[in-house]
Amino acid sequence: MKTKFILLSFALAALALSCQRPAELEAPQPELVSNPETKLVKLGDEYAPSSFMVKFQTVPSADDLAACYQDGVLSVEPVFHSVKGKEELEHRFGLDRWYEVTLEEGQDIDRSILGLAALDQVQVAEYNCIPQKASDGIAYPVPEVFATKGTVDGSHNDPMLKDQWHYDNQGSKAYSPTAVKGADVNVKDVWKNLTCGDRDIIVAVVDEAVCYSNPDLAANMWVNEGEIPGNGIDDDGNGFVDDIYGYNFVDNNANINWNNADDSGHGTHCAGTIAAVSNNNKGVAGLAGGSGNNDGCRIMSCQIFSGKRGGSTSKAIKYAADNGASVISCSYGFTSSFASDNAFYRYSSAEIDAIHYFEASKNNPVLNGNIAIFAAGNENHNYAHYPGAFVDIISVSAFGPDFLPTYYTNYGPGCNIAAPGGEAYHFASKDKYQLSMVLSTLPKDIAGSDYGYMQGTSMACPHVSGVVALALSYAKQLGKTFTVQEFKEIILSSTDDIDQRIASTAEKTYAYGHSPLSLAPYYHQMGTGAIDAWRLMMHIEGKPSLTAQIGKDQWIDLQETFGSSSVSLTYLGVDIPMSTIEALGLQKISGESQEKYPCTPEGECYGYVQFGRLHIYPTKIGSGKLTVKAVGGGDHVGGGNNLPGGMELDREISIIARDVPGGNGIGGWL
Amino acid sequence: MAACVLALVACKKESGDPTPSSEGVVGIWELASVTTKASVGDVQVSVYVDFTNGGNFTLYQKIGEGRYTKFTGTYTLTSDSKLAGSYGGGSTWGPYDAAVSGETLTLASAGGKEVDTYKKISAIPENVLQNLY
Repeated sequence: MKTKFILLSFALAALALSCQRPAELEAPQPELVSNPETKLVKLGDEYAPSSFMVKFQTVPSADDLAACYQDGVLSVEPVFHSVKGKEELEHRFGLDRWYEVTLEEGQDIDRSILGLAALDQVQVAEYNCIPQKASDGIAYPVPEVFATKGTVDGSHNDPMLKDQWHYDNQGSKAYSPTAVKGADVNVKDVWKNLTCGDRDIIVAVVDEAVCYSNPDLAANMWVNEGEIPGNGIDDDGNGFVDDIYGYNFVDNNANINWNNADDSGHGTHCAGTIAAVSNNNKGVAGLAGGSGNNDGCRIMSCQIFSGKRGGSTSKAIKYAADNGASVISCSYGFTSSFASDNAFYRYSSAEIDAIHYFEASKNNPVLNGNIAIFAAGNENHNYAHYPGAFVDIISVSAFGPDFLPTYYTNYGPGCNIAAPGGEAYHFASKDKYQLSMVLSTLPKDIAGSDYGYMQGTSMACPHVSGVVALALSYAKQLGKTFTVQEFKEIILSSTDDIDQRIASTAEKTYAYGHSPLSLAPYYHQMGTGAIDAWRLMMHIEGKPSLTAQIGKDQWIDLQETFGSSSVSLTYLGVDIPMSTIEALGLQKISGESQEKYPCTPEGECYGYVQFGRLHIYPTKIGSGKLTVKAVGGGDHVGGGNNLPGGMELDREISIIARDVPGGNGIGGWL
Repeated sequence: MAACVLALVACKKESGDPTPSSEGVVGIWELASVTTKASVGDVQVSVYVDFTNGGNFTLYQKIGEGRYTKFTGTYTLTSDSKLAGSYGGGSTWGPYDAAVSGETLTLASAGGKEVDTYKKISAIPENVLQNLY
C-alpha cells in the first residue's frame, strides 16, 4: 500500500506517479471485505441525518434494490441522473451503481447504514457528509470605487484593479508593509498581449451560490440556453428543472441563493477571482474575465453550501461535467484525516468517482477531458486536505503579498502548487488590515457592497482555476490540443520559485496578535512553486521562459535554449520588440555595445548575447518575448557566394522579470 | 596546463579510487581574463569563486555597476578534467575543460571559443563580502 508520504511527499514525485496512470482513467477497484463496518465511508464529521448513499458491486437488479427496503427506508433512488449519450462513461466510473437511501423521519442512521452495508451486493455505504469551506468565511466588504482611468499599465480599466495585488503586485506598502514586487500570478502581460478569456471555457464554482446578479459577474454567468426559466419543466432534458445559472444541490432545486443566514459570499468571491467582468470600467477584474468585449470565460454556479447546510458535492461535479464546464473550482475539503489515497477511496467515495468522470468528460476543443482544482485547506497542517490531496487532483496552497506561505495554509504532501490566498496584516490602523487579503466580488444583499476582501486557500484555488481558464482560452486560440495529463503537467511546471525566498527568510511577521511564523517547515513544501500565468501561456506556445531579476545588470544563460554548445555559438543579434522593452522596463545599453549590438530598428541596444549569455537590465516586473539570432554550424551564415556556412537559428524566447532572486535560468558567471 | 590536472587524477586512479577528483580546482579563484575577448562588451566583470573539497562552490560576481551577487551550488570534476555544476536554483553550467597550472585555473568551453582564466587568491576580499545584494 502506498502511503500518502510516498505518493505525495513532493509534487513532482506525485506528477511522476501520475504519469504512470493510463490516459483513460478507470474507476478505482476497491478491496472487497466482509465486515459491514469496513464498508462504511465517512468523509467528514458532519453529515445528513436521514439519507446516505450505497454503491452496489454491479449495476443493481430489481431484487438488489428491493433488498434495500429494510425497516425505516423510505426510498432508494439513483444518486446521479443519467445523461443520454454518456451512459458508457457513467458506467466506466461506476456512477450507475450509486443509489441514495432516504430514511423515514426519526430513524437511526447509524443502524440503517450498517444494515445495508451488510448486504453482499453493497460494496460501499457512504454518509452524506458536509464539506468544509477552505476559508474562515469572513468577508470584509469595501465600498465600490469609481474611477476614470485604467490602472494596470492600461491593460484593464477596472477601477479597483489597483488594489488587486494578487494579479499585479508592485510591492506597494499600502497592501502590506512586507509586500514584495511580483508576489502575484503574473497575468498583466497575458491580458495585454495574449488572451483575456473565451466564452467557450466554462468554470463551475462548486461552493456557496454565486450571486449571478452581481453587476460585475452577471455578463459572465453561464446561462443554460436550453431551459425556460420558471416553467417547472426540464426543457433541455438534462435532469434538472429550471436550471439557468447552475443548480442548488443543498435544496435540490434551481433556486440558487446566496443570502441565507451564515452565508458569507464565499462562492461569489471565488467566482469574481476567476471571471469577474474585466475592462468594463467597473469594480474589480477577474483573471479570465475578458477584454470588455463580452469575451470572458463563463461561470457556472454549483451550490453545495447554504448557510451551515451542505449538499452533494458528487452530484454537483457530475452536473458540471454534463453541462459544459471545463474546470471545477472547489474551495472546500473534508475534515476527516486520511493517511493515504487508498484510505480515502478504499471503497471509492462517490465524490472521487464523480471527479474522475468529470476529468474524463470532454467539454472543450483543447483537452480530452477537464481539470479539477481544489484548495489545500487552512489548518496549517503539513499535508493537504482530501480530496485535493488525492494524487491526480491539483491542490492549491496559499502565499501572501510577501511571497511567503500564509500563516493558515496547509503545506507538504498533497500540495501541488501555490497561489495568492491573501493574509491579514497588522497595520497601525486596524481598519486597513484586510488590504493584504484577496479583493473580489461579494453579494450586496448580505455584504452591503458588491466587493470585498477574504483570505484562505479558498481564494488561492480560484486563482489557479482562473489562470487555467485563461490557458485553455489561449490554447483554443492557437489551435493546440493536449491530454488532461499533459495539461496538468504543464500547469504544475509553470511556476516561479518560491523556495529561495522561503529559505532566505527565517520567520515572518503577519496578522495581528500572532507570533512570528517560522518558515523552515515550508521549504520545498509548497508544491512546484507559485503559478505564473505568462509562463503557462509560453508553455502552451512551446517557448522557453527564462527568469530575470529586476534592478540588476545580469547575464542569463541560454544553454536551455541553444543547447550545451550555447557558449561557443556565433550570435548575430537580439530583436527586442518595443512591447517587451516597455513590459520589462529594459535599460538601454550605451557605449560600444549600442553600435555592435543594436536590437531595435533605431539602432538602440537593450540587450545582447555573448558567450552564450543574454545581457539585459530589467527594471520592471513583467513578461515579454525577444528573438535571439545565432548561427548553427559555423561562424557565419552560409549560402550564395559565401564559403560554406551555418544555418541561421532564430529562437523566440520569453523573459519573465521578477523581484525574487533565483528561478530557473538565473545563473552566475560560470 | 591540463596535464597537471590529468596527472593528479591519474594518481588517484592508481590508488584505486574510482571517484572523480576535485582537488585540482579546490581553492579560491578570481577571474583574471577572458582570453577570447579583451573585454565583455563595455561591462566590467568581477568574479570570485570558491571551490570546496566537498563539491560545493560559492561564486560572487559583479557585472557592471552595483553590488556583488552571491551564488552557491555544487560541482564535479571528472577524470577527464571536465568541470561542470549546477546552481542552487537548478540551472546548470559547464562542462568546461579545466586545467590548473601553478596559481592559474583555465576553463575552456566546448570548442575552446571561450577561455576564462582565474588566478588563485587566499580569501574572498572583504570589500566583496561587504558589498553583497
